[in-house]
Amino acid sequence: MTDTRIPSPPVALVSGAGQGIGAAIARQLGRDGFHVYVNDLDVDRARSVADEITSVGGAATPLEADVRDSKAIDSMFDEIEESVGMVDALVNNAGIGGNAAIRDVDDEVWRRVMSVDLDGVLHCTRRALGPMREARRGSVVSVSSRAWLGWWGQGPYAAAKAGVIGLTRALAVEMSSRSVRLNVVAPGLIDTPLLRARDEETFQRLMKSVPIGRLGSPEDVASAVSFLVSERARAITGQVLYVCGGKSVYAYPDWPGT
Amino acid sequence: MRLFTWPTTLPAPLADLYPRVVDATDSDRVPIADPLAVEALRGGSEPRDTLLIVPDVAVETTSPGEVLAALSHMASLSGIDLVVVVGDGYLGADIEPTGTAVAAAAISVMRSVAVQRGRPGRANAICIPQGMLGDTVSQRGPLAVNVDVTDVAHAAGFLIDSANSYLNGQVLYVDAGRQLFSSHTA
Repeated sequence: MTDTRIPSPPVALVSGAGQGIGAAIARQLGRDGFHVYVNDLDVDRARSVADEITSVGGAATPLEADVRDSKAIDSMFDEIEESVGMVDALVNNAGIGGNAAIRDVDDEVWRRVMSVDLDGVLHCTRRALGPMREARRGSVVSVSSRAWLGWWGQGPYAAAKAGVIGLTRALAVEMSSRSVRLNVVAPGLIDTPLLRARDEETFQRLMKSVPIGRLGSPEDVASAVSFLVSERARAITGQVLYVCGGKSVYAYPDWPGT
Repeated sequence: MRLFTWPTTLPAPLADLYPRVVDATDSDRVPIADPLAVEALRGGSEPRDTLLIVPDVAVETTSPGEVLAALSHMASLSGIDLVVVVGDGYLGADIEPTGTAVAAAAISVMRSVAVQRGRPGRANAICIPQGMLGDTVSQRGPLAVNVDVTDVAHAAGFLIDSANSYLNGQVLYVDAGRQLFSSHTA
């Protein structure tokens, strides 16, 4: 049986935390006092982030596992629980992009995006909820995307990220009587090397599409996650929180070709 | 950073919120008596000042039209972050619609302000269980917690924190999950 006593410090698991938004979330939760399990496919990257956290006095452990593999995920949770007890806060961050016009979306492309962006969330969440249900506490935050609202060439990605929202809302209802909360953050345009690699005209057009006039940072997303997993958000469940500078509000998008 | 509130006179549960928000943000409380007083803020506010608006309360003592006029007026203030607090009846409820209509309009104003190009400052909202601003201090939703004013205070502190300056145009539901049953909230 999983040890569901409240550990000291509480335990967080962040998937896909070897770089970018996931790494920022892991660092923030480390500052918040969690023992952070830093999951990534690339254990060297996970170790590097964990080392950053421990170097400033936090507690962190790198873990290699592929979110597409439910058995590997179960084993990862087993390892954490045997070591420190149940996961108090799960952050489903692991994900891949999947930009392709629908004519180019064959079964392989579709399955690749779904297996990471949606199956991965199911595998981690399903496993985390067992002990949380028993303990009547715990919080899950999944990283979706503003892109679920729909955009050209993002069919598989939008479908997967919409699935994350639907799954979260359903489970928020299902787990509400057990005092387990599930929420979503949906980042907008976040400043990443991939975005910076766009040509200047495209980059400027994207910038202008954000009402607040700047790109977001991984730390912006991490701050929202930090709040949602905390006791300060104890009355918040099933929320989809867009971290997007207001881009999700805008009724007149920057329309390609016009 | 300063925290302004409108209306000034609020039911006890929400009034309790202010010292906590002030504590959380190290700001000074400067009450606003009426929309005309807001005019005095023009040019004098600092970029991170926050104006907390509670239209559901204002409509109890003022006509809906005047509340909306005041909202639009306050929303035009540049350089001030707006946080609007409304009851969740605006999502659709079998209750007298005047208040919920004002709340819905307030959300619309908030969202329009959020996307105004070149307007310094952000705009967000907090949605709480309908009736929480009245006699009932706490309300339950699907989640087995009583929503109380401390939860609202935490949400307000989160929204106005400069660490969350990329949050804009959002409605944060502090309602124990009541919003989950509305198609309006995803």
